[in-house]
Amino acid sequence: MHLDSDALATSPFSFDEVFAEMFPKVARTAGLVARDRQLGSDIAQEAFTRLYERWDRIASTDHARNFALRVAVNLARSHLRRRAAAPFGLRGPEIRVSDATASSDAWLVVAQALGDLSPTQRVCVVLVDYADLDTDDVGTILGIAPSTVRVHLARGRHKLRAALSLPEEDER
Amino acid sequence: MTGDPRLRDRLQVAAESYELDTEAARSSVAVGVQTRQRNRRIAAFVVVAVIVGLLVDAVTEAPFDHGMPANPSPSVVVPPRTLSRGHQDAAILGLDGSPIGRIPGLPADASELDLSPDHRMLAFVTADGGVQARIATIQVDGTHLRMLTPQNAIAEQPAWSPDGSRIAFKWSPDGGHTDIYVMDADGSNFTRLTRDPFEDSAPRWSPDGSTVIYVNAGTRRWKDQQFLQSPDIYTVPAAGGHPTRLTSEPGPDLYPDYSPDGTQIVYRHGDELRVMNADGSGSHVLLPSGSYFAPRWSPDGERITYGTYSGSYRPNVGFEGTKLKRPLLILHVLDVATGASSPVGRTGFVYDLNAPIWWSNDAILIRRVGV
Repeated sequence: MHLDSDALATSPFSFDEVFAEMFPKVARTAGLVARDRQLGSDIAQEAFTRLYERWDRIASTDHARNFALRVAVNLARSHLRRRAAAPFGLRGPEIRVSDATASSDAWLVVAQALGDLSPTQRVCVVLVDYADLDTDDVGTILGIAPSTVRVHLARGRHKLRAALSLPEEDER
Repeated sequence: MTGDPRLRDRLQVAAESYELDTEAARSSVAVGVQTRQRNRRIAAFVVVAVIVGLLVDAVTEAPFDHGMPANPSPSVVVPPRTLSRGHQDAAILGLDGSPIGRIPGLPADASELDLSPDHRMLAFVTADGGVQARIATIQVDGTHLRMLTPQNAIAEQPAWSPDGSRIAFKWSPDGGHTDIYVMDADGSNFTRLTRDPFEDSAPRWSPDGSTVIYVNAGTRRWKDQQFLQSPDIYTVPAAGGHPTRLTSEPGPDLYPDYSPDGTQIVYRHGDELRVMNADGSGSHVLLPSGSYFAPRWSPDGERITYGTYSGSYRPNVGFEGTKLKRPLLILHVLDVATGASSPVGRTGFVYDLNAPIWWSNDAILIRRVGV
């Protein structure tokens, strides 16, 4: 990638470094939220394209991470919502039977289990339990209070444990 | 709140169970950046050209400066143009599919159009360069684009009230399930009409403006891949109040729209296109098992438009920064009295929420896609 703008030249960290470090995490996070691995990668590319375009306003690597995750999660949620709004799934054109390219049962089982969570619960669980964000950062990304994130997180974890047949943890 | 190591392990194993081509992704990002920079330069040039063109038009002929009649002739809008395959425009078509005019100035990702009763304004959905669907309005001459809903929540499916003063829409301010809201046509005074814990969508007004009809996703759990399993049709007073359920037969009930006199509702039940009385009684089949999407009643009540699914071509249409292949629907018109139905030329539209709009009894406004 050719990065030679003045704005980028003044940054203490390079876009390439951030991309190399964060793209896989953002792509896999989006994939879990959308329950679609290919879409996760596509969404992450879009998120990093937008990150590049505003690189002169990115103050830190945490800022870059949060921006990319926010865009990716919002795109994934938008995709889900718009797909849900179009009831083609009743008839076939939009329905997915199974992921023919699935390389592991682990993905299929977890992707199926995540379907039991509401979109917001899913985002909270994935961002905290996979992307290692804290509830304050998730609240910032989603535009909701950290206390609300904790409610969605607890409910989402409860549903996910049930779907994966995992025992309940003591939530503190 | 502490994490659950077993959940973390399961998520991590699943998420990292497949390979990512990071190098290819990085190349795609670079290409995407360059493409957008080029498109912005082209867009800037086009904007300048359009402004110059509008100025010239204003000097020679300014039909919108003198006010539009309540039901203007389609001839006052911008002339149509040839539409390339996969591209979209907002076209006004005769019932034989011949283009009569078009609405200029819409964002490239505009969808879910609805026409104000005085034919002066369009409400629609756009991401406006952001990441969330928002509701906006624009004059039919392509000017005065105005974003109505805030940036931080997805708002969709705008529907003008019969007096043009309000817009019903579906919204989820907190990112959860959507409810039906109404706002003034200038984007003020948001009022929530429904409060159930399920997805509410597809609002439409009764012709007298007293009631909003909508689809409730039902009591089944909402899943993005097994969604809307048993949606039913409800009404709710436009001023607020308790919803009334109109349908309860097994099977999905979707796409409600009032007849112009307000006595009947056209909708899809399962695979059938049906009509019922406005109180939910007297449901009967209008068209037997088939593929019917987004029916809309003509102003004189004699015809109904709808889309039928065509699996042969899935246009790649952009929205919210992504391009996704969308199902293509072919526009049809049904004669209510005879039951005869025929396609409107080879007119296609993508996405079932881009319902066709009756511009007059003899013309349809549609967000069409080149096929």
